[in-house]
Amino acid sequence: MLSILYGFAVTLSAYLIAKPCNRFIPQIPVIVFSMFFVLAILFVLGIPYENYMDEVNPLFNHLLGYVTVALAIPLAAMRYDDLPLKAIIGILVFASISAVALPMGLAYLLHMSSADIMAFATRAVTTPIAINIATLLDAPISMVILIVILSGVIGAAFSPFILRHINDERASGLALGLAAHAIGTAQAWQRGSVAGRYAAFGMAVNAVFTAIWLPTFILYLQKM
Amino acid sequence: MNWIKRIDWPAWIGTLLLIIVFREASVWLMTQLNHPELGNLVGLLSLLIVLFTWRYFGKLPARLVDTNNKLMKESAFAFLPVSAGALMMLVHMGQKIPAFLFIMFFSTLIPLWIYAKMAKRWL
Repeated sequence: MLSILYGFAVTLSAYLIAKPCNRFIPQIPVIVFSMFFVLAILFVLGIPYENYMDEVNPLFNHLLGYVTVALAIPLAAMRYDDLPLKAIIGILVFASISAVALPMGLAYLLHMSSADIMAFATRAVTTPIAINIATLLDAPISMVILIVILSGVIGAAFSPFILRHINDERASGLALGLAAHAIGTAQAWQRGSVAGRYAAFGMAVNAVFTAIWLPTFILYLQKM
Repeated sequence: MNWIKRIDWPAWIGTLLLIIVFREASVWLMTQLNHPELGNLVGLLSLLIVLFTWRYFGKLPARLVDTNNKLMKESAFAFLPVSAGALMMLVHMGQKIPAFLFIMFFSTLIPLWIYAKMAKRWL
């Protein structure tokens, strides 16, 4: 119990130190600062990452679950009557297919192993759903988690530069949710509640849609 | 100490209870059905159905939405240990790093920009 609290204190300290740093350099998201601070604190205290993770993992698994469930509230509060349905469906279908085809195609062109290529299929899907899809596709789970988390971090970290000329919080939020799933959604909430709600919408719909079509399509191809 | 008085405690307790109860009940239910990994997703969908039903009959409480907005703003905290782990794992990938990073950056940032452009034009 004490070591869980110790691990939690390390994580919380890193997060609290990162907040003023983000206010000082707002282009770098809190999560990027915090990641480095967690590793720095662990290094200074001489705690191996594996030990830290073993202790905090059950607690943070709960927190990740609560964050996933909490997305229902902004999704339910969103106004759908003024959304152009055809355009939204078009963007979602394009995003879902391109998010699978582009990384898998690049991995194939760069002669990566077939297991690695399969792991890239879930790049833009939020972690709990990506793990389920990876299990169905026989893709290496640890590689899948690395790809999902890293793509979220890259999307969140570079979003202030990539989206600087967009000037539409709905478009920025939707793009962050579609391209960088939950971490992108957390970053969108830092931008504002409009971006956050659209990111949550994009992430959730993309995850559910991809979880339906991707395993069906790949299993169909394998049976042919 | 004024900031403590300004906190809407009933709204915070209600929002947190709603989220925790739905998540834990869904994980318990899916564990009974031998699919515990689907617990979070089922929790999200079941709470969404309940809130849509609520919205159908009346307005969602603004205090619930406001409190949840504040909560979501700090949601990055939940991803911190796994994100730090991803950074560590990347360092240990060795010769695969350049190709891996190229795919990651290209396949994340180009779509991010394209989706934002499409959404800005069509929404």
